[in-house]
Amino acid sequence: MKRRQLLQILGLTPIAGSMSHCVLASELQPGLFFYDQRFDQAISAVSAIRDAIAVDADVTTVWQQAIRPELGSKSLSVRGLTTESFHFCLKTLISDHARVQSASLERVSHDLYLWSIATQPYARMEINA
Amino acid sequence: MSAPLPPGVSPERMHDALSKITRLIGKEWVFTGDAAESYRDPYPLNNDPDRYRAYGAVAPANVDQVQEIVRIAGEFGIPLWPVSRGKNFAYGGAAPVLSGSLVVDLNRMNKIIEVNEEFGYALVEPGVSYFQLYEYIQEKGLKLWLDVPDPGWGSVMGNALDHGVGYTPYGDHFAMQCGMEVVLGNGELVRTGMGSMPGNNTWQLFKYGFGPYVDGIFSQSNFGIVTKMGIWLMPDPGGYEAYMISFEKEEDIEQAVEIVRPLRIGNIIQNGATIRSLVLDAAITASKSKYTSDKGPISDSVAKKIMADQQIGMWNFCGALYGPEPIRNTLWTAIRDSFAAVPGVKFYKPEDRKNKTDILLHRAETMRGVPKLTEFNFLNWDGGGGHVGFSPVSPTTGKDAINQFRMVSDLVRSYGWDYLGLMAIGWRELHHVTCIVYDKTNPAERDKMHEMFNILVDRAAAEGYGEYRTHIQYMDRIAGTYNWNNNSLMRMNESIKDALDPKGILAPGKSGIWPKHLREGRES
Repeated sequence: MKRRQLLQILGLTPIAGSMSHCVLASELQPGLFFYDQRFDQAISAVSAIRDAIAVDADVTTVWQQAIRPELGSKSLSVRGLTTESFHFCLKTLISDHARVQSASLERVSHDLYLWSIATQPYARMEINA
Repeated sequence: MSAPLPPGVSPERMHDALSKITRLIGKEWVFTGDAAESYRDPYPLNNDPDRYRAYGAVAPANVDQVQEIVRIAGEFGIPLWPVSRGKNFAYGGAAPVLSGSLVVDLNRMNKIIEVNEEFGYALVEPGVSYFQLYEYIQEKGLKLWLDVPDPGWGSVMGNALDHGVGYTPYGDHFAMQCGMEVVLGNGELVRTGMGSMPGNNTWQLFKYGFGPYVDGIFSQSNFGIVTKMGIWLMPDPGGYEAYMISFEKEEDIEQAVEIVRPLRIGNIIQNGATIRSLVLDAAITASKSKYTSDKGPISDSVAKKIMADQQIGMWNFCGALYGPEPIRNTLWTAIRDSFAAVPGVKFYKPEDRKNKTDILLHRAETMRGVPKLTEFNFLNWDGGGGHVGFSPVSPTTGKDAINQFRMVSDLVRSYGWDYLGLMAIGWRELHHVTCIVYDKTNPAERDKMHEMFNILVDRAAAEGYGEYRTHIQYMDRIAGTYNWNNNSLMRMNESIKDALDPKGILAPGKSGIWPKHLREGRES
């Protein structure tokens, strides 16, 4: 799924001044999709996405029960339409346990961000000095 | 954009140093270029991407490697910026004060060396997080409780070293540390207190050993790299109950704090409790757009709407009772009767709350030592996701509390932001922590924040209030306010710095302390 297609499906338009470097969806395998159930815009936007997972702003339970057990030896793809801190916390937690292969973040409303994170099992990094 | 080099260090010299370190720890643990991006401050307060930017990072696996990295850095004159887990967000994260420094990332050193249930302590390495230690205690079924700060991903050791606080009776984390192992600037290894006596078995039981008590000089400092620390843990108290007391008006903070003081000093209030402002608590479960589309600080009518919706007050005192039921009942009676004097006060226990996601239900977990990340929710209050903490200390008096509140909230609101603050109750002092939430994607907001922060520091200092902890961008400025007797404390710190780290490689600029070769000509 291309990013443009995803945005169309979600009925979202990036707001002016939003963060750049939004990539993804095209490289991503199907994976978990989180949306913030406190916002009507998120609820209606994800109606086309099967098995989207409703969350609120707190990442703690999602991390401990859904994401962390999946990390380790395999790659993981997660996406979301959530608040910024949900994305920040999840990306930071994931980065401690796996290599982030690609990531994107785009502000699509005052409160909501569309994002994706794709990981690989921790890989060796080259010195770049 | 290539990363900045430290002052006086050529690219060749940095390369040679990194090559040596690479041979020592393996190339997979040396991070430069894109691999070092995670060591940037996620909440910058300036618009220069090279300011407070590390050249790279190295992640040693053990104490021997830390010692050798320090020796190599000394040989090549490379400044190091040690971090335990690098989660000191809102204070700079893993980013260094001096651009071009090499971050020494101690995440890999994450051994829980010992947890002693009988005496109630743990001996840990820097990379041990609150989540990790909590899980260890739960898995082993130990009858011990952690004390956690708001974010559970931080380092147990790093938080204590930075004078972090939690919310159980063991909430003063540095007061609960007992015994350290430290690598000095020349690579030498030191154990403090009883740890310096071979064969002694009270390293984590008795702090002082013999001679000067030196542990304090390794907190918020750049005199050494702490590689092990003992931390006292609270025995399971045998019972627990959280409560919340809410107050209707902003000016109630004055009376509330007057009531708090004797209760806290007398240990009727047992824990590191907090009195939190309306918006800070509201933002844990909702964002501003739920209540208003108006720009700027919320109006009184919006405040009332939030109070009704969330069952909270203008101020909310979250505390907890620890111990068997008769003890809890006795303490609660004394606390409730004391606060009943405040007009409009409301008392809540968790079972009184109507919403499933709720501030008291959340704080009830934190006050029994369950690590979480829930507090990050407040960053979303106005959508922008950035924050910085301004944290002056005052006596626990009503007069100081209302004075601090007005001083900070008036300025914050005049800049167009809402006031999100809390008074963390220490034994005899208040940490007035204001979390200023801004749009981190907006350069103009960063400039505005910087301007306002400087005013806050100066106004607080003029009133005699000093910050206990700060973002890397303000370390010099705040150190400059502790200037009694012609800066005699800083001059003493500099003497210690020069003696323990003669090559000046450890965390230059931390807490405003600079090594000799970087002092002259530096902006004051």
